[in-house]
Amino acid sequence: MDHSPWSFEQLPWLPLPSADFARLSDALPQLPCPERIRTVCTLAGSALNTDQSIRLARRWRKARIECPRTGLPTFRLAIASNATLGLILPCIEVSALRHGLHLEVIATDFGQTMQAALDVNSSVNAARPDAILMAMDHRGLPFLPGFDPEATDSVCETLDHLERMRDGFLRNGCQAVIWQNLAPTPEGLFGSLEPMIPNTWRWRIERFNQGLIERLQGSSDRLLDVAGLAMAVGLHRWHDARGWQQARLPFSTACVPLYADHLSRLLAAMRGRSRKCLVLDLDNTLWGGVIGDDGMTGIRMAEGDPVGEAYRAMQRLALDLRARGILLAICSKNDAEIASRAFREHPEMILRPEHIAVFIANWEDKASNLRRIAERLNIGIDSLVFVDDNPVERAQVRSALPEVAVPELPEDPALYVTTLLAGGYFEAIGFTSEDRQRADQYQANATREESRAEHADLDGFLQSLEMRLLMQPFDALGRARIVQLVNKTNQFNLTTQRYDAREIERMEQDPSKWTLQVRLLDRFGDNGMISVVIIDKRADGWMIEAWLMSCRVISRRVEEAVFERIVAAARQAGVEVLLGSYVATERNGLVREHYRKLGFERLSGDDAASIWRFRVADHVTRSLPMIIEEN
Amino acid sequence: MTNNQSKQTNLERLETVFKEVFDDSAIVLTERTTPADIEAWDSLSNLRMFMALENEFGIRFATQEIGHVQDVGWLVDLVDSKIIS
Repeated sequence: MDHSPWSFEQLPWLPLPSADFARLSDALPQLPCPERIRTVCTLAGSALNTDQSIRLARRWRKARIECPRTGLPTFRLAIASNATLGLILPCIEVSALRHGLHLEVIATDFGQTMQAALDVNSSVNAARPDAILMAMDHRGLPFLPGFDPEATDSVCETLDHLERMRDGFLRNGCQAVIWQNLAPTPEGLFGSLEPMIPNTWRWRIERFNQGLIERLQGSSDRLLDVAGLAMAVGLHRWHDARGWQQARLPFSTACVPLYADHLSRLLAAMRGRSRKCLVLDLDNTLWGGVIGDDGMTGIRMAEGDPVGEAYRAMQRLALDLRARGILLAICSKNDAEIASRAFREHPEMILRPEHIAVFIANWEDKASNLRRIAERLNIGIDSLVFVDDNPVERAQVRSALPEVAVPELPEDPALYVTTLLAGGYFEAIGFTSEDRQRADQYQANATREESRAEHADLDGFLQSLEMRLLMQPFDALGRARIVQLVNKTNQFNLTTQRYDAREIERMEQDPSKWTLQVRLLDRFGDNGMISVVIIDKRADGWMIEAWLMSCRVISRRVEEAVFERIVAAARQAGVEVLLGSYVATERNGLVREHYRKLGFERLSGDDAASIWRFRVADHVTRSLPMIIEEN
Repeated sequence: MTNNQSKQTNLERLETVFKEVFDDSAIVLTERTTPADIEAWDSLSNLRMFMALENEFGIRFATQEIGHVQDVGWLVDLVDSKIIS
């Protein structure tokens, strides 16, 4: 049942595979499609080793042919590598399922990476992949083969070489680029002097990694931090000379599932599927002991008590994640008054009531409470990570709500922090000032919800918020947040069209586009940029190709104010017709009637996708409970 | 346990590993089975097979021992020699 001893390579945050794993994976083809997909995702969600991953990937490749509609978003990944990918590919396919993606992989031929990049017709470029992963091993890069104290620096040349490759892929068909940095080698020629001697491997790889980070600053290219991963595993365990010599395996076979999981996290984050909220149990998760039995004075979380310090570390981690923009919620079987008193009054508590967006302590089942937490925060169930020391609760939540991530927790609380972080649930592809403030914004939302109850009529309530909307076209300053919003928003999103930073940047100057970014301030604080509109100025009318809004500001008539702005701009440009497109996804049912509510009529399409039309002349100006400022 | 019995047992354990690595539950090993008899036996699965045997028996193979399998009898003897020593 238990992962012991704790070993990073064995994915200890995931439940161990069922004893029936081999039989279940063999039986996939006998299941009807929806269940086949659910089952393969459950199997992929366990801690599979390399052989098990290969087995499952093989079964799934066959089993999925009859189920072309997996319901999972597809990610088409190309891999350029100078090492053997035979073990890596199946492991990536499996770990992608674990992270909610259906992966299609295109690999370059061995030793043909530059040709693959520069040739428009190469299999990689022709496939127009969503991203190209440049998975290069240091032994196949244009470094000098050995140590030569007289040699000139080959690090820059190597980086230039890779940048040429990158430019080729981007120019010829790939949508985005993922770089890898290099794992340092464990051995050295000089001992402790090693990092100071130019042209040793240690020195070169450090310079390479540093140089790569400098080149990636401000770029929309992504980094897979292989160096960090290898160091976390331990360099002697990561590297495997025999595997390289026998079959050009770039690193130890045992580490392949771990590598694959890290890559899949990154791909999922690029698809906007990172988790947003950490939900914590209390007894023996945030403090030692049971507060209902042991009382305020009996629970352990004191500095100086080793057991207490283990739980303090967990609280500290939660607070640090909050500072990163992750929401915190409590879900505990407890008396609400007793549990919340600890947050208010216990002198050793690091977490306080103001850090918690939703606090639920009752005796109901945890799956229902988790549903409630997601509803109150207006986020998807699949945005939650639930941490509980009790294996029974974990199993209940996993079976009732498979979309919730539920890490295994080891017996020893000293390993809680390590395990939760090793799980990588909060993979980020950017960090903006909006992220820093997000937890506060949700907190303010909760306060707004309370004050909503005091205002019987909605407009009176909205008036009392003293909202100010700042609207302006796309610009460089807003770019990072626009890209983030465009790629993360799932619910209030009419077309769920994703754009990368380069595409957004192009729109800033593109005369054929009309763009809008919207920031909202109110009495409780700055909500940051919360809405984005992209319009294609077509001859037959302005086509709204993207319209999305953060769920935090739903029901505040912001979308109506945005519409007023669009109509005003259309009028000014002499445009008579606005066209809107709605493309249904699993998660945007909220806006199915968006265009109808605004007075559009449906021109064509069905429930899955439709086109709507609005005649500008028919517009009746609305009076809205907010001030609009334009730039 | 006689030497003969232990070989039989190890051959069975090898067969289980082979079925898993070469993904073929129909594999039946004898001491005379050679790489040519197993369709999925290529250089990568060969290496995986050796690594799986290392895990199964708690032993380690040297580079010069990997890649020169004459037949399964030879492999069983190699495993035996490592378990005993």
